Amino acid sequence: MEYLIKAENLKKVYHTEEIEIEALKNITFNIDKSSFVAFIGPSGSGKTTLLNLLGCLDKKSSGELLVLGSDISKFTVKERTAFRGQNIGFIFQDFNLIPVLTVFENIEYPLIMVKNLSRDYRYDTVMSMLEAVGMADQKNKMPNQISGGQKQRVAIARALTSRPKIVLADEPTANLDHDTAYKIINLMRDIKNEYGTSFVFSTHDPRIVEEVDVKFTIEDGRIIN
Amino acid sequence: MLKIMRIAFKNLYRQKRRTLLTVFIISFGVIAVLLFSAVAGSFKSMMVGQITDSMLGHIQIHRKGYVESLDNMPLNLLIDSKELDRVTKILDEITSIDSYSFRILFGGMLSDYRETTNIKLAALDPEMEKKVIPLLVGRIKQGEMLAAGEIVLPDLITRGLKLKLNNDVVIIANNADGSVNGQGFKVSGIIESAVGPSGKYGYIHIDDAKTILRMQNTEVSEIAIRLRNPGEIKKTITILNKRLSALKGEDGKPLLEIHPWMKLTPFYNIARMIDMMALFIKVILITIVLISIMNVMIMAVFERVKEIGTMTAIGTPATKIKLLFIFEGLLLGIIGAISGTIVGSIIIFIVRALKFTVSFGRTDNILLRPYVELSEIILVAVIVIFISVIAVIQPAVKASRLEPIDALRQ
Repeated sequence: MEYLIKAENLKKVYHTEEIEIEALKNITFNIDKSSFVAFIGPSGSGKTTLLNLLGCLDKKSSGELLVLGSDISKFTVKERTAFRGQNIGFIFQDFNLIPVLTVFENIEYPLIMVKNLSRDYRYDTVMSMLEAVGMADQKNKMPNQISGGQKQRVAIARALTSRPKIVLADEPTANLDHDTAYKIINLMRDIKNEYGTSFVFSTHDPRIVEEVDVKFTIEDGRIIN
Repeated sequence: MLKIMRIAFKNLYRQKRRTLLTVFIISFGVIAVLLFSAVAGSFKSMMVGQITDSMLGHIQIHRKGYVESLDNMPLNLLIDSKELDRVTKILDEITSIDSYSFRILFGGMLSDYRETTNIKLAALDPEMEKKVIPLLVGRIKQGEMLAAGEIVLPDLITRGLKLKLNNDVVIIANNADGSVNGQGFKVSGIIESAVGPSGKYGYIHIDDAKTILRMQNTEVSEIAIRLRNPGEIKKTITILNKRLSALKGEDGKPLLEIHPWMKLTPFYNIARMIDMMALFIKVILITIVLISIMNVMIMAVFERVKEIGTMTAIGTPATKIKLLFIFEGLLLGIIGAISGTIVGSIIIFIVRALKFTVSFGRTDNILLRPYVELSEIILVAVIVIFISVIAVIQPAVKASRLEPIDALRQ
């Protein structure tokens, strides 16, 4: 069976001038297609490091890691960038919207810069994403004119607009209040059900933990549960 | 591409004050270059015009070796009448030549019967000369252009000898054989002295010179030529060299040599210095643009590291990130060049309207007419825009090479 993500004895070591820090210690796990998965653990446990490896933002030190069947460690920088653009969406804790672009333009951005699609297609896609995240009426606002919850909705729409197979969300609810966090989690679940997109979270937010299908608990660089 | 340009514009708009300051610096540089080019160009044109139109003409023809001995005004290196006939025929056939005149240059003694002084004389045909150097008449401060039997003296000599118009003087000179002859003249005009080798000459009629020098036939020291278009000096000299090379001396080498005005006056070096200064100012402009844009864009990259990290994480190719920053530099250059050109042109127009005058040599109140050629404006704008793009390449490459993981941690 081909997994969405397959990791075996995955290891990540950071080298500083004097010491080596083993951020991930021989982790092994598999993630199926169309999953709603969370890596749970305290700060410094290695969740973000793992997400960076899954998102082709960083390179493993050893072990095996296949994402969508590809050994991404063999990719060049250019290939990794292209792979991210085609297959992976990102949702950041701080939203990371581009401040000079409107809500509409932020969502449209990957379609212009990554996929280079036609104007009509872009408009239809962005509008459908805006409808999906309930932000259609805010499309002309700038990021500094909307709330944190709305920013995260826009970030979700941006992550999904190029129809990635995986969305990696690093602490997506950390900067949101209780109600907004629930709404965002439910929104992502709805999108997963509608589009079949897999969501992989790193979190220590119990609200997400309750909602996901699969949980991996990480502590000190190891999956313990 | 337009979308990337739009994002670049928005990024510049985001930092309005900094963008305005950068555009102001670029504009200031463009204004400085245009203004300097206009004023210096005007001064140069005026200076060159004074030299060519009141003394030298555009081109001169001499017997080989004459120019080297010009200070001695040798009478054994003249172009004789046969050679003159052949040269005249050739000159008449060249269409770029507007007019020409013959001059006999010689040194002598000037006496007012009380005092005697040295004088350098140019003997000429006034009608021919007016066509070749039309500003000569304008240099005559008192009196008028000479006729046969009359002399126009430089003001320095008339002041020294306390001579006035219509005074009688005598010129004594040696001819080519060394015998001495003299002839009386009436002072018909006093000419202001000019800067340059022929600026302190006295002028007599060419027929009088032939009498003093006991010439049977017309022999001349130099032929001064005026062109229809001063820009065709090089082309005309090439034609003249080709045509006149048929006139050979006893040694089988060309008998005559042709000089553009640039080779006959030290003021050409001043003209070249003005060009060098204009070039230097352009280099300063390039440096200003380069440093200011590079500085702004390095700061922009530094401030937007996380944003660049997000773009890269999303999958934006490095080329598009580079392009984004290059467009920002390009826009700064275009806006700076356009605003600088507009303001610079307005200032040049105002300076022109104010009718500033300058002095050159002993000539006062020469009207300065600053102007700048369209080609110069385009060249300056293109340089600025090109340098703006060059300046942004390093920050753009730096931005495109940022590791997303490091950038996102910022």
